[in-house]
Amino acid sequence: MALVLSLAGWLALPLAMHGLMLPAICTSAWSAAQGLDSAFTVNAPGQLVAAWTAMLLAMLPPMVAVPIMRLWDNALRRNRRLLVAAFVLGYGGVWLAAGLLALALSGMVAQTASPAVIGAALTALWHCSPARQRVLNACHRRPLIRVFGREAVADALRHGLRSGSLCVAACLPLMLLSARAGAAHLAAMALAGLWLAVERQLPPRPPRWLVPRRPAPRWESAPYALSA
Amino acid sequence: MVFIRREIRSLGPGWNPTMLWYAKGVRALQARPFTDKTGWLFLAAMHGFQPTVWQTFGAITATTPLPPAAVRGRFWDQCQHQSWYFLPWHRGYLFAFEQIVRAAIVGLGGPADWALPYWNYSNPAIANARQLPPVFAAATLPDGTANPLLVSRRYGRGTVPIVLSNANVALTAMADSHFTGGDSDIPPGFGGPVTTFHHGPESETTNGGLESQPHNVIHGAIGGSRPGADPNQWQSAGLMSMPITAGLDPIFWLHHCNIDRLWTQWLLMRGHGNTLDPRWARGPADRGFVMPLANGTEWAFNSIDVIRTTKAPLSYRYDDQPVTSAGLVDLDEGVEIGDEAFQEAAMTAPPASPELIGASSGRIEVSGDGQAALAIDADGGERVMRSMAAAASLTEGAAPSDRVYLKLEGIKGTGDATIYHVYVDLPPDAIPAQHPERLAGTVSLFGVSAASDPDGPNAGNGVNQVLDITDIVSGLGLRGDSLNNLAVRFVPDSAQDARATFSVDRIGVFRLGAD
Repeated sequence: MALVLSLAGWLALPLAMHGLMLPAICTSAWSAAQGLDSAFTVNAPGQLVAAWTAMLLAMLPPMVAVPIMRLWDNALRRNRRLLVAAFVLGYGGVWLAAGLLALALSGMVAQTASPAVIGAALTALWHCSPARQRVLNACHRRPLIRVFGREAVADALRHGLRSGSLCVAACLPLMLLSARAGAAHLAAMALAGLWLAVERQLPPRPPRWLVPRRPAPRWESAPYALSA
Repeated sequence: MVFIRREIRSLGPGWNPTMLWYAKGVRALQARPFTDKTGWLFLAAMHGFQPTVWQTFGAITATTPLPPAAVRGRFWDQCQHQSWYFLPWHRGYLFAFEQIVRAAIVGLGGPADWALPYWNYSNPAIANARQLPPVFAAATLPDGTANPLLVSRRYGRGTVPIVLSNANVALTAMADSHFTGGDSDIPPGFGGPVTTFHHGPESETTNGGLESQPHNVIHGAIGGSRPGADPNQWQSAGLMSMPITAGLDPIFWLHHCNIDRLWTQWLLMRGHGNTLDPRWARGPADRGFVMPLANGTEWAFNSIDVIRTTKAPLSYRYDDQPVTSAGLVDLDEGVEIGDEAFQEAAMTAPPASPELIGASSGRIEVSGDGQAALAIDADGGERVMRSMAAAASLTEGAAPSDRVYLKLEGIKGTGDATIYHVYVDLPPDAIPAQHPERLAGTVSLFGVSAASDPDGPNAGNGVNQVLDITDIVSGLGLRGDSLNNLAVRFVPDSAQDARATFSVDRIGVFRLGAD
């Protein structure tokens, strides 16, 4: 099911992005607000939303398949659809907000001297940072979801918001970078999506700076920090 | 030749030849450096390793040279827990240890047919079966030298000698009808839940049937924590209490030998069989298992390679494996143990998906005696009771009764030695020990501290435990009560356990029916 949705998204993406003009192209963007403003002036808002939604549909279903299945299996039969809907609402809501953030950031970066280089450097730094590893570790956390009443719906919504936020933090920089890869952006996004999906399956690791040619830290080798 | 693994007390009292050679073999392995793959420390590290803990416990120092990173990556961190690979991996691990010790023993002039003994703590016919065999508590060997089998970090429940309780050695897992639980961990099955990857963070970290009890419980019951110290601090733990140090205690191997023997016993029971799932036979998907051998080579294996213990290279059997006039009864007889047998055929697993019908209202904190109230959904409870009534009516064609399980999800804590007994539907003010029919199961926190570490292999999700409460619930029905709530009580195994604290994210109640 997740793969079907994803495929639909990938097919829709080129259509949705056709004719879109993003703030990097528009040289008159001077600030985040102006970036957003110009993006919406130059492009029809509907088309921007369609493009963003198509990208979400292409890249996200494989990421949320497991949390959604777990939510389904661990809910009362009569509440399953409601809890999954609450989760998707929270998760999707965060990503739509992230879309606006992305447009604003695009505008800000566009005005710098070498936007591509700066973007790549910042993304690389983020991907090597212990903070991002903490985010990746937290992605594997299974939060408590209560079973009855409004609390169950609230917990599912909160789970969606939390998962979405972690996803955005972990994945947005690389996704944005690949979306700006000129003519090859669809291929770049596909590769980025594949890499992020694989990375999602890797086990948690102690949060450390990743340094070239130094092996990634393993829990078994790190100082034991857990205490009562 | 086929080596015969014997019960320790059948070998003769005190320092019988087998145990004396074991002690000498252990001593020889302990003299080897950490970088030696056939050394005591390396073998223990394959089960679990943590530099801070090992240094604090005196197993290594801050300057002890470690094996190269590539070797560590290949051999260490293989141990399989909360997984259907639990039994086959430990079988291969045990075999590697046994043949390395045997080679050391032969090198010292000992017998070439030496085999690892097992400790059958559950057999009431054996006198003092539940007491730690005395050779593990003796200060010296007969020649007056220090006894390598004696370990100071082995506390039990503070008594000397260490004696396991009846509850701790219970063999309820032998009644599990399936090796694995299909695509769900409810129930997890005798051998453990399906896990396709070596360490899958998305897998449910649920203890398998035999793994839970007696395996996990015995680890905590032997290791314990230092009397008078805080059981929630890892510094207080006995070696056997935590997976990252358990391999350092020489009793570990006799305990696992017994667990391996129980697997062979389970297969002998009518209707039992290993899973035919090819993912189990050839898995894990991302990494096979590898062990060092005494001759310096490596042995790579999958589950399919360790099914028949009498087959090379394992070449062993247990002294209680039946031998008929036609010869040795080979387990899995009649089942072709070839690749052809492992098809995409239907697995011998429960057909239905479990359905949640109730749960606790939130997180449960346990410190000393603990309680939780579980609310059951009216519709779900009703369906369970109806199915039980129909099955009890013995009407022809009636479907089998629903089965009901408790799932303790997200058990988190830092006191790995902790053991608690879980009772369901105890009358108020009842004395738990007087109601064995309300005992849902015994929970051990073996491995929970690593599982509770947010940066650890389980991402801080803790461990899950599934308990079968079908009989308890059908008792409710027989008394004419309806199923709309259940009271759960946590009872510590001892005064030391009562000082440990842990939490359970949620206790879920699941039904498993034909629909």
